[in-house]
Amino acid sequence: MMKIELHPVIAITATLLVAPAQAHSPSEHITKSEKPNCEAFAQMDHSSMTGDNPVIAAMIKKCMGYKDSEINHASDSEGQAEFQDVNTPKSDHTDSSH
Amino acid sequence: MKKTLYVAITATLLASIVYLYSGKYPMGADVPHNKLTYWLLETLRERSIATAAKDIQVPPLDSPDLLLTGGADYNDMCATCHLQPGTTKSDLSVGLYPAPPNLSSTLDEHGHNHASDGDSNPDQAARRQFWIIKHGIKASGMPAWGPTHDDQRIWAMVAFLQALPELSVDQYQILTARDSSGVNSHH
Repeated sequence: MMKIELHPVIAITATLLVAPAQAHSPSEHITKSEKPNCEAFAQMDHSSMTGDNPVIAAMIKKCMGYKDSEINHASDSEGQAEFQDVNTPKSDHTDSSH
Repeated sequence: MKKTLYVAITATLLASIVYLYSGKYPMGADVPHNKLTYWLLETLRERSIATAAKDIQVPPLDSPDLLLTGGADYNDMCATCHLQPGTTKSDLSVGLYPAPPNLSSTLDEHGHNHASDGDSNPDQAARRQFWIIKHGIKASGMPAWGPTHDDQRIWAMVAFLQALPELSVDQYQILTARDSSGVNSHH
C-alpha cells in the first residue's frame, strides 16, 4: 500500500493558497454589474418624500454618484428638478440661495 | 399501573426505532412533513433560535449606508430564494422545503409573519434575523454566512430587511444595484 507523507511546507503552502478563497469581499459578489436606475427615482412622486426617511436618503446617496453621468443629460426635464428638490431639506425649499 | 406505563413507553420507543430504520418516511422535498413532524421541527428551530439570539445587542439600523451595503448583498446572496419586489416565486422558492419565506412581503401566502415570526418586538425580530443569517439553519437550505462575512455586513443585511417589504420595484433596483465601475465605491 502506498504511503503519502504530507510535508509541513506543502501543508502550510496549501493552507495559505486556500485561505484567500474563503474571504468574501463585496467585489466577489458582483455577478452582473448593474447601474442604479436613477432616472426612475427622479420621476417618482416626491411629494411625500423626506430626507429623514433612510430609504430616500439611501437612494439620494446612491444616485449622487451618478448624477452627472445619468441625470444631467436630462437636466432640462422636470424629473431632474424633482430630483434636486428631494436633495434639498424641506425647510430650505424657499431658500433660493441653497 | 407503573408496569403498564413502562411497557407502553418501551413499545413506543421500539416502534419509533423500527419506523426510523424502515426507510418508510418520505424524505423528498416535494412531499411535506406530516403535522407532528412539522410541529416538532418548527418548535425545535424556533426555541433554539430564540434562546441563542436573546442576548444579541441590536445596533441602530436606520443608516442609509447600511441599506446600500445590505441591499447589494441581499440581491446577490438572498433574493434568489427570498425574492424581491415584483416577484412572487423562483425555482428555489418553489422547490425548497421548508419553503424560504418571501422577505419582500410582510405576510407570506400562509398569512404568517416570517419577518418577526410571531414576535411584534422589532429588536427581537432583528436579533432573530441576524442570528439566522450568521449561523444558518440546519437541513433547510439556509447557509451560515458568518464564516465568510463579518458582523457589520450581516447587520447591514438585517437593516435592509427592515425596509424591504415597503420597497417598490424601482426603489429596490436603486438600492441594490452593484456597479463594478467604481462609482459609489466609497460606500
